[in-house]
Amino acid sequence: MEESKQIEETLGRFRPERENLLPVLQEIQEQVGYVSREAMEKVAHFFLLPPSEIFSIVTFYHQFRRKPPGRNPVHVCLGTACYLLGGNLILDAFSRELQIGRGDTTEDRSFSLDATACFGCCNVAPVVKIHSQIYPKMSPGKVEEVIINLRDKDKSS
Amino acid sequence: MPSLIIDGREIAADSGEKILWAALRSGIYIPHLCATEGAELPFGGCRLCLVEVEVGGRREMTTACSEPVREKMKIYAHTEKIARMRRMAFELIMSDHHIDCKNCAKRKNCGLIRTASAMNMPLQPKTLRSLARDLPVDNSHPLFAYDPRKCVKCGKCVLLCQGLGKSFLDFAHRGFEMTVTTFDHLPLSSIACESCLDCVKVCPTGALYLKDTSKNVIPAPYQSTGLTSAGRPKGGGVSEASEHSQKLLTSPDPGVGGSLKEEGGSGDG
Ligand code: SF4
Ligand code: SF4
Ligand code: FES
Repeated sequence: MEESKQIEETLGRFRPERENLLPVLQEIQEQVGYVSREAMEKVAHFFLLPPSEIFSIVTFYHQFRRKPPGRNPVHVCLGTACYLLGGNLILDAFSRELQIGRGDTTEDRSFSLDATACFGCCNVAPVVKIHSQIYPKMSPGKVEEVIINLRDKDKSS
Repeated sequence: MPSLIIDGREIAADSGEKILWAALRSGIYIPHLCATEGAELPFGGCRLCLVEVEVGGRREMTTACSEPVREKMKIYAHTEKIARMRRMAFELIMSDHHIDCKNCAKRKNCGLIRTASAMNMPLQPKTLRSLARDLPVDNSHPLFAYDPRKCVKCGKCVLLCQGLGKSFLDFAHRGFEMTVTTFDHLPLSSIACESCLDCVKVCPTGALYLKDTSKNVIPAPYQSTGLTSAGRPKGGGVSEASEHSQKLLTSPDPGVGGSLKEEGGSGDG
């Protein structure tokens, strides 16, 4: 389904009351994969709120992305165990290698980078999840290899 | 009419008003950057107006801009502890401020310079290193510009634009990354801003400033296109707004009232 239709369909399932604002934004992200400028404008219009306020909310919560996810969505765990074992260093390493920040997508849309909460694999922390695959016991040194392998796979498919 | 006691001096206040405004009216200076008189929900972000209030024999810290006066309440506005906290608050504000007074449009009328001289402090923090960010200046609008590197996030422009029923400006992001900006960081020229320029007037810093149009002809009434604030009526005509901006541009001292020397009194509005 095309993005505008998906947004409108989502809005159609809610009433324009303020307590529905976050659920609506979450649902749009779920359906479309991200919250675009168009989505924020439509939500503002629906709730009769200024667009700047929607932007304020969407940028406040890290869970909302404003760019479409990449073909390889990298999720770096920053749950307690992963964080203590250097999850943020893994995040930094991806950020450096891909030249994008948290919540961002590369120009060619091949990668996106996000930080998330616990996946429940604390025993192999720090972990990274890409698609449904878990990369256990990550270290900044392994990041480049992970990226190269995924790039190769992208090319051959 | 309630009265309250600040630093041992009894002053009169209007019931329900906030301590800060009663103090300023009586000539007691309390530093303040983010307060807007009459605001229902004080922002309380700058922490410069900290005072101690006596409650049941104990002293509690509170911000004077948010605490309503109570009959016979005892307030200490100039203790050693308060001075220390305020100095720290001011250093924190200045630690990510792009200090460049020489080239700043507000240098003759700057709330930060006024506050610094009233608190007898330099602009440059002594105990903190500078963390000024490199952010782009929005120069797109013909009459005014926005330099986020000078913004101290006092929220005055946000509150004002909201009060006008427009809300073109709001906070975005959070923590250290927080900025005051337009919807999706769109250039000021592309939103339906009607150039009332009131945000420039309330901004205590050089973040929102009038462009120097004295050498050029004042641009024709600025008509914007593009986004409108959803669901809100487009109040105020363009001609009215441009008349207002002409007045602002030709008045000798645009921006907030008061001069550098004026340290107390009515405050910076
Ligand atoms: S806002 Fe004030 S302190 Fe900052 S550069 Fe301008 S004049 Fe200087
Ligand atoms: S632009 Fe000016 S008025 Fe607005 S938040 Fe920043 S410093 Fe305050
Ligand atoms: S004036 Fe009270 S916190 Fe800023």
